[in-house]
Amino acid sequence: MTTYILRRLLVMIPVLFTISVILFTMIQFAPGDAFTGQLDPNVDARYYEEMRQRFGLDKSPVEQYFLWAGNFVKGELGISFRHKIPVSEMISGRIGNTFFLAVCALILTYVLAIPLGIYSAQHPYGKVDYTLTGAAFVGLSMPSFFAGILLIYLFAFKVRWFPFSGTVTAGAGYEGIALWLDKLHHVVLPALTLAIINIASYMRYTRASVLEAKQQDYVRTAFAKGVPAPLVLRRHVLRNALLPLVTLFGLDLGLLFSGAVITETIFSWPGLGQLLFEAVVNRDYPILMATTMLISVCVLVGNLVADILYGVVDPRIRYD
Amino acid sequence: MKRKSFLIAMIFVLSLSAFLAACGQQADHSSGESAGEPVPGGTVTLSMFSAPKGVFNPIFYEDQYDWYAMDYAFDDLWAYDDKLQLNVPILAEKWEFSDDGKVLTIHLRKNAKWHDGEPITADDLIFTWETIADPDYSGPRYYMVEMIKGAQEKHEGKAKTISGLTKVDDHTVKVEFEHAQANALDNLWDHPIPKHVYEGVPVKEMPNHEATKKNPIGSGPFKFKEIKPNEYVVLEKNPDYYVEGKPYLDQIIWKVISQDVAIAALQNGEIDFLSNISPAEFETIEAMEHIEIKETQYFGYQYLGFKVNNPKLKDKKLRQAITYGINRQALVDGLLKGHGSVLNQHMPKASWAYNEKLEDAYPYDPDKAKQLLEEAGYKDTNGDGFVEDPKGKPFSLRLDYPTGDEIREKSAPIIAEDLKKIGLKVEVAKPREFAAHADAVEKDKVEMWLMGWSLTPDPDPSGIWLSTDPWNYPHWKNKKSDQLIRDAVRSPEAIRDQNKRKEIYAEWTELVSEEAPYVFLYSQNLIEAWNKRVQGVTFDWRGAIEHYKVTDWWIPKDQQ
Amino acid sequence: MSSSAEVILNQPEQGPDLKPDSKGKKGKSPLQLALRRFVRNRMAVAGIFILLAVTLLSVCAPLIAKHNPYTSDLYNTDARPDGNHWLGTDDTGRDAFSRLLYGGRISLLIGLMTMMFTVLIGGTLGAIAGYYGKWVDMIIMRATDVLLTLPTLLMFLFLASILEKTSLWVLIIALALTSWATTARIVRGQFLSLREREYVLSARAIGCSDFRIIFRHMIPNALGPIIVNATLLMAVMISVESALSFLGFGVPEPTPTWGNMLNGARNIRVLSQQPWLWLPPGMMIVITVLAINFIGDGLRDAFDTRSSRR
Repeated sequence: MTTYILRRLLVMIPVLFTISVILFTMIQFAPGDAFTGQLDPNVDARYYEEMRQRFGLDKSPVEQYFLWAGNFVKGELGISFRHKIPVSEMISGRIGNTFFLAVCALILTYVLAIPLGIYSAQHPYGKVDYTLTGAAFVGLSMPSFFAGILLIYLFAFKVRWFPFSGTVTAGAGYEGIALWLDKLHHVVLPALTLAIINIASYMRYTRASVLEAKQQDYVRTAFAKGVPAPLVLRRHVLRNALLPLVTLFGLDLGLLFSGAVITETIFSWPGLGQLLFEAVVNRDYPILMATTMLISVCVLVGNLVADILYGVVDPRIRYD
Repeated sequence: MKRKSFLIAMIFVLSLSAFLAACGQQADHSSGESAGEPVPGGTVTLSMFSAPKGVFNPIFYEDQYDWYAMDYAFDDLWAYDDKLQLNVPILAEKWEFSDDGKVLTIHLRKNAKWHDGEPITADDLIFTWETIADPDYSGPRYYMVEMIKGAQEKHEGKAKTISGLTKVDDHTVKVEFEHAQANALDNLWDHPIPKHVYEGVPVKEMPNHEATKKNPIGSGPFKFKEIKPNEYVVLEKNPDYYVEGKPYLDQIIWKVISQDVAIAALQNGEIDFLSNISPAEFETIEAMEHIEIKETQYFGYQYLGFKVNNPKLKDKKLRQAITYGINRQALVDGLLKGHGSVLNQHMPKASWAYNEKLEDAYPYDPDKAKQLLEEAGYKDTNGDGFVEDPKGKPFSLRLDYPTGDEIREKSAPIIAEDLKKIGLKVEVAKPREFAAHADAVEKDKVEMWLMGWSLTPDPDPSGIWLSTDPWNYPHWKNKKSDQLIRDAVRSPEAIRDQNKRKEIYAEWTELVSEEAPYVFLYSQNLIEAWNKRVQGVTFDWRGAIEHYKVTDWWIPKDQQ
Repeated sequence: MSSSAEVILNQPEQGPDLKPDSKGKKGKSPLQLALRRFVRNRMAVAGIFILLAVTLLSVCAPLIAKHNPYTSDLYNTDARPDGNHWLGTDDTGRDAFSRLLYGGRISLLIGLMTMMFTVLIGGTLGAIAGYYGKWVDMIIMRATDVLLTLPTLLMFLFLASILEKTSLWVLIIALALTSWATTARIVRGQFLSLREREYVLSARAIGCSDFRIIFRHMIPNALGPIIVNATLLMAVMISVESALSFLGFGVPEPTPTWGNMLNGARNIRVLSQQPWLWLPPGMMIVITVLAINFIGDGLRDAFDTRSSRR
């Protein structure tokens, strides 16, 4: 196992390298560059030429790539073409928000999905089960922007329980505990929006998995032995049924970071998703490269964790 | 001394407003209803759709939202009045040109201070211009300084300072221009930055300096109190503002709120102001009793451009026929719900240079369009409903358009339908995302395309319309047009008399209209709305938010 | 969203069917038995009917719809539902009901095509990775890693620029390219465990070709999660298209899809005051997704010999 892990970690380097090359190539193919879309008739076209030169956009793609790579390896993430601000600053300003949102979304997911899924499995095909399953499907088929707008409409507009946007209340100047409460107050709606699809699918998986586990021979044996039901549930059923979800955690962590553009846009939640989206639209490749590298590391590590746990869960799996 | 200049300024401004109110304007520019006398205090929350990038330095910012956030914190030397004349003194008390128009003398107000208490002096002004002309300067404002004599040399590194700048005394500066120009004042950069803060900082590092990011020191009626990057900016009253007693408000907060939910936030009172409202929302907001909504023509327009150098589009009659064949009024009535207007020239209606004669040019006339096509040799010889070209070959044109503006996207198929009715086959290309579209237009990969321009109060069309301009996308090269454009700015008659300048522009707009390198489609209205609790709001051709009279806003005591 | 949990919800594989059926005849083939089980599942059958109905409506759109879904009527925008326009008109005066019907075609097409491409690519690659293991597995899995991290939006832009346009097929290809990775992981996981089963080992011992083993023995047993994944994919793709429209990368004007019609609801005014514009497409999406999922559940249960229901 340790050799496997070490091998995976080593392989990450060429993978990251490949990712960076592919990404860079894709950017070159996208028509236009960071200065094309900026049509200000008052600004001399010469300015954009000067800027292109200054940032090396007139060099060959290969040269540009190695310039970037050389700096990146040294830890210099570069400067945004559009905004002339260091990339590290732009990322650091947002990464905290994304992380906070992702963690809250995950907590919400587990807190809601698992108990509901278990309950469904305990009383299958009953009214509650059908309601929950139906709700799960509605949740699965709802695009996140719709969920977000609906939530805002209901809980921020109709009843003013939650704020419309932002991570904190503007101009209030909270500190300490008050600040954290304010943050939690602001994160509820966006986290819920982000989590809805996951809650729906995790609930389904939990239900199916618990149902499946309940039919296993070892459960029947336990009942035959006279073990009380709650104990059976806890020790045999749940342990086996919930392990799969642990592996999901590893995978989803990476994706949550980058997939939240829509939620971030609607709730004006300044996160990495929005940064990435803007960078794509603006062809701002320093931001694109740095953020994608960051997300890649997260996804790769997440996958590694998932694979390890998977091997632990199912002893029949062998990684040669 | 302080009182006197304040009094003069007030009288000046008041008489101007009275004069304009008497004349009447097309644009709504009334003040909000006053429920009594202004009282100090209160907070107003404004909203913007996208987050400012944090470059709070007037000479370096590039993002419009950065400007919104710092507009109230950085004063200009002068401002435009209701009639687009550059004659409202702000930081500059008065200014005059020499007889040959080449030297401008600026007299700064003596009692204006920076937010940290330092006085605003001629040194700051000179320092600002020198910084912009510096070879290491990375912002886009050089063109607003290059007309100063000696600026070019400094920009190229051949000189250490700009020779055309002379400090007469602490509050007076002489600026010598390379040439006399009618729009010298419009194009001169007029937002000083504090020398005592930035002195000694290498120009390269200024955009990242603490004073730019965290602690901007400005000169305006409000100063920065708190900056939460990407989310909001809190501005507080500048107690030392040179206008005594103003501003009335304690705080102004700029919040980032997405366009989708902004209206609900306005209705709920979470924000007080909303700008750039889409026409579809007008009725809904109008119905809200506690919200005031106003509109004026936006300084800009959408157009359909022709690549004139493409042999397919060389014939003027074809282009004119297309212009007659598009029902532009229907676009305004249907897509903009009437909140816009058909435009026929590169000048907004509010501009003093607007040519009334072109107001009704090219009315929607499909018969005339068909007639013009026939005259040009485009006839339908095979009865398929579409005309063939003069040589008898099948003829079709392609229309390209970008994403990013819903109304413009919707207009493309409608335009194609209109042209189908006059017998022109138009293939509507699938839309590209904006940067890709701009790239395609630049590289001449299109025939007809949709795009827009925004305009400035200075009507000078150079930059887009000169034969040599890179932004002359249609490649329309016309010597007469170039001559007129240059004359309007450089000829001594134009410099002396604005009416003469207007005449030249009239000739120019008519020439453009005749040659039709664009079909000027429409100009959407700028719609802004605010909570009625905010009194004293001035709304004119630039809207309310960008108005320098933010100092007059106030909130009644019981609604603070 | 990943569904590798499905992998772990191991479907017991099918051995030879030893149970004589009630009529005393010899055992039917596994496929026939699966079919029978499927038919007995009421929800699954209901799902099939619903899907058929929806598809029929979309296919027969030209017959049912009174108006052309592309014709704008700039003088009758945002109309309320009436006798002429059953679901009113949108903001350019196009008939919403016709757009709903025609939109179904595109949405269903997107769902179906994307699902097929994804399963094809992902399934094959995942099977190869899981079966051969070691270096092959390593390479393919790293490829999925690369694909999972590349920003989807950039992929869209890249494809759109290469093909010089944003169109339906660009969308489908781009979606498939970005989604096959999860399918591949699922299939690979399945194959990793199935590889050690006795019948596989014995098949290898006999000397069966790899191709035969993969396609004849392993895939039928791995079908369960693959099918569930496929049905989930189809459902999610329809909804993803809507999200892409929100960001400006969906199917462009004036083509209607349920997704970009639902986009009208991003505006709170439309959400609260014009529900007839977004509720019908939203409901169609939910119904279709539900139907597909029931079918998927039914298929999975049908192929599973051991789970007892009720």
